[in-house]
Amino acid sequence: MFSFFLVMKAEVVRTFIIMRRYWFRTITGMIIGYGMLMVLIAGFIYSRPMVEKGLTSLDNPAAATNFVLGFIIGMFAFGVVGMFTQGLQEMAQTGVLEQLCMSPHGLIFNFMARTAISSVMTVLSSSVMVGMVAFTVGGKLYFDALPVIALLGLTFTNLLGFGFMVGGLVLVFKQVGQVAILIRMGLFALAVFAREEMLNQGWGLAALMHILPITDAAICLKHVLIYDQGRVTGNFVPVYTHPSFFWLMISCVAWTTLGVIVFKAMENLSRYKGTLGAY
Amino acid sequence: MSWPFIILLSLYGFYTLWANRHPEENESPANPAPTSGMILLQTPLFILAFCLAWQYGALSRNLVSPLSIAMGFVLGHLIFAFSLLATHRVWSDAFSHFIRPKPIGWFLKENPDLILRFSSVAIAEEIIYRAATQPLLANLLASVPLAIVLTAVIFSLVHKHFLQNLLALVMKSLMFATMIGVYFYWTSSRVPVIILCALRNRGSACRKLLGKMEVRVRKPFFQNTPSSPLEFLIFALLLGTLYYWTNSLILVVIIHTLRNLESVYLEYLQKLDELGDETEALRAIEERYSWRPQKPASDGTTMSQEFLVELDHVRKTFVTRHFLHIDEETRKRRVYNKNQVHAADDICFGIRPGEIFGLLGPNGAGKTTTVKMVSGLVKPDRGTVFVDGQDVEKKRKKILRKVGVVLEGTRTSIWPLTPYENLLYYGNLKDVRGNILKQRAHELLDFIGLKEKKNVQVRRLSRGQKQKLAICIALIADPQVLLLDEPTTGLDVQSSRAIKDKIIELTRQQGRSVLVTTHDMHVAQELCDRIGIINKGKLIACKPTEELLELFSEQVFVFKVNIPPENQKIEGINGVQAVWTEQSTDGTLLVVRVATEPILRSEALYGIMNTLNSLGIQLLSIQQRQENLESVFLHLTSEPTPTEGKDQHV
Repeated sequence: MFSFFLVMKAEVVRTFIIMRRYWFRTITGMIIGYGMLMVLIAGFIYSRPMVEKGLTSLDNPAAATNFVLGFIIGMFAFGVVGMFTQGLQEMAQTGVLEQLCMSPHGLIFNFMARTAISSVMTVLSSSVMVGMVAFTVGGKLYFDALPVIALLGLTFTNLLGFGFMVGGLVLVFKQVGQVAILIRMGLFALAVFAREEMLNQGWGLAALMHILPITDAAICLKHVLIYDQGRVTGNFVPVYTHPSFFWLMISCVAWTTLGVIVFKAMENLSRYKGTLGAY
Repeated sequence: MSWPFIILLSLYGFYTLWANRHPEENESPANPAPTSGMILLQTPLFILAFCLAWQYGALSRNLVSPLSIAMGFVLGHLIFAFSLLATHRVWSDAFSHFIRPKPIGWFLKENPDLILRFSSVAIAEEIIYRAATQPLLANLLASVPLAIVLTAVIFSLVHKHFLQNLLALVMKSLMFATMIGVYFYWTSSRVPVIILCALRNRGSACRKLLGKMEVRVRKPFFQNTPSSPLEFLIFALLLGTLYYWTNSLILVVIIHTLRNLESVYLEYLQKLDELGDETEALRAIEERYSWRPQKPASDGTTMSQEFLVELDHVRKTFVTRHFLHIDEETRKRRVYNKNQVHAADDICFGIRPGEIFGLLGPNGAGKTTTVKMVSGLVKPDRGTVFVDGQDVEKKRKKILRKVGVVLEGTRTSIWPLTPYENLLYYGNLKDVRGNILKQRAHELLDFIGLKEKKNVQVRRLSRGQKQKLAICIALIADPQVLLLDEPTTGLDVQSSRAIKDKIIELTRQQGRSVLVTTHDMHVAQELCDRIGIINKGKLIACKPTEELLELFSEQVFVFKVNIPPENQKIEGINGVQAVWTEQSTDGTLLVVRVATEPILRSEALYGIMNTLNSLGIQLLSIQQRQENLESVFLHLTSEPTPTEGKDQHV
């Protein structure tokens, strides 16, 4: 366990050094992110047939905040899964992956630490952007620390499991990395548009939505952050009793188990095929 | 006090003395005395604590919820755990052993089954202990609770470790006082409810809830106060026993296990003194304690003692599949094609401690695959790779601590970071920590000559400097074996020279084993003690460098003379195979090929010198025409003719 923190410490130090050393890039990245969000919101709202309706929508801060939050959750998913796809490919190209493979902690351990730190960084920087966007559009977010932390933790675990599965496949089948870009985009879109109504579309579609690692997480987070667990609508439903919360927990266990098993198996296969650490 | 109580008290005292007897003669560092004596103090003191808690109504307040009780228990347990660990000298033992990173940590990792074994023993031991003591305590408790304290005091006074026990008694008294205090605090105040509310809800909700707290408080856990002294005592006993048997058991087992392991570790240290070798000492301990069946060293599953790295009949074949393929000869398209490449074909060699072994071969010969198999990056199809006596496939994580690798053509280092930051980062990944890591990073940068560049970003370093940094990264965990895949490829003469010097220093002065792969003959000839020549996955030669050169030397001698003699006079000498003359800028050279057999060769050389002397020809110098590794390499790796195919293996 101590070793895990040691690896995490190394990752934190590395990330902060790079952020500090490339501070201009970090700040411009956040400004660009903010700009993109604003354009996205405007795009979604004004692309409707009637401009008047669009203007009315802009006056509805909840709708705007919904998109923004979805965007941020999508970024989170994008980042975690991306760590296992593009991140893995980059590390293989630069030779860092070979060194990680030769670390006595093992690849899974190192990736967990690496992804955890990168996710925390994503959440922190995204929170600043969410705050800025919410302030700009006049939206409001209801921050309830305990449920938010619990949900972020579960979401991270869920995505980590999914990422492990995709990453394992990338270790052996390099072309999966390209397909993974599509998967990431899909998750991103799902996070933006996820809402409870999507789960009431017949058992087939509902099952698919539950299987995907981001749907229930996004619904739960929106339920807490935007609707203050239903207090906004006057129908208080604690997130812990929300059906999506239970699906999220099941999904967490399932994806993590499956992800780690697949990753481990693929790591072995990759060693057999001689492709570990190479791209 | 009644007579029965005095009798029982005496029995208890005798029992504890008997149970904790420590015959001096049997004590030794390898067999330290059991220290379970302190455990016997726990029961009476715990029961007393519960008696007091009960007496003061701590468990029967209306405000008490099961959650509050649980919180009180948790805090009490934490304090109890700390005191128990402190009084059993476990902290001091832990500090004395565990702060040194290598010894006991390494020992325990090497012997994981010992932990399991001693845990089981400790559980069994503790259960027997308690089964014997509980009935006695039950009788004792039927009398006066104060007597329990007296028993504890008497026990501590008569016990062998008097001072230690006295200290323990004081500590435990303090601990129980604290625990009871904590108990009261939790059970009689609203604090836990406030904290819970604050955790579950935000401030405003918390305030609202506080107003309604009386309503929210659950039904009391214990409704009635005890109606009779008997009921009171039985209840206290039940609680105490339950607590004692469940929670503290875990701690006791941990302590026993640690102490048992500590004693085994001490025994290991003794063996180490006797045998002087870590592996031997470990094997001796394993033979005595381990449940694992020991494999005989001669059954072929373990490597010989001579080599630090050994490859035993290792094979690796890569299969590439093409769904669409154009045959180069026929130019016809095929839907599916499967190619097999033998990267390692029955490779056997070993590297001794402090040796530089060169693996020489053309591109695609299988050098990198061999290095990757030693470092565990590639899994062999067949055969076994041993590092420090352990199978790389079975003990991969352990082996990775002993092996440092620099692979060819990779960046390895993180370019936005400085060399020093890179070393700290990779050191953490390889489980090196704290001041040791910082010190080693400084030493390595100093050693390799990057001290001046330690705060410059890697992307600004030259290629040679990056390669030096890669070697430092490989060395950060202080590995016994260093694998260098083409370490000087693409470097200028100066950088190449510097790296070669450092490699030599690593082996000659620091005693590491180095495996160098290269296709540069000069590097191999200059660096390596032994050379293996690999071609198409086959190891076609494996000899000490001089021996390899000698083997292929043609035994041609060059005599520098003032006047050339007639060739016929030399040709007739026994052992001379061919004679010719060559003109050079220095003058005339008489070139003679002699027989390879040492006796014939000596005869021929003496004969030539005598003949020249008798002819009045002045011999200016004599030297053997040396073969270089390049010609040996070309000779070995050239396509064999059908007749010479199998004779090339040396």
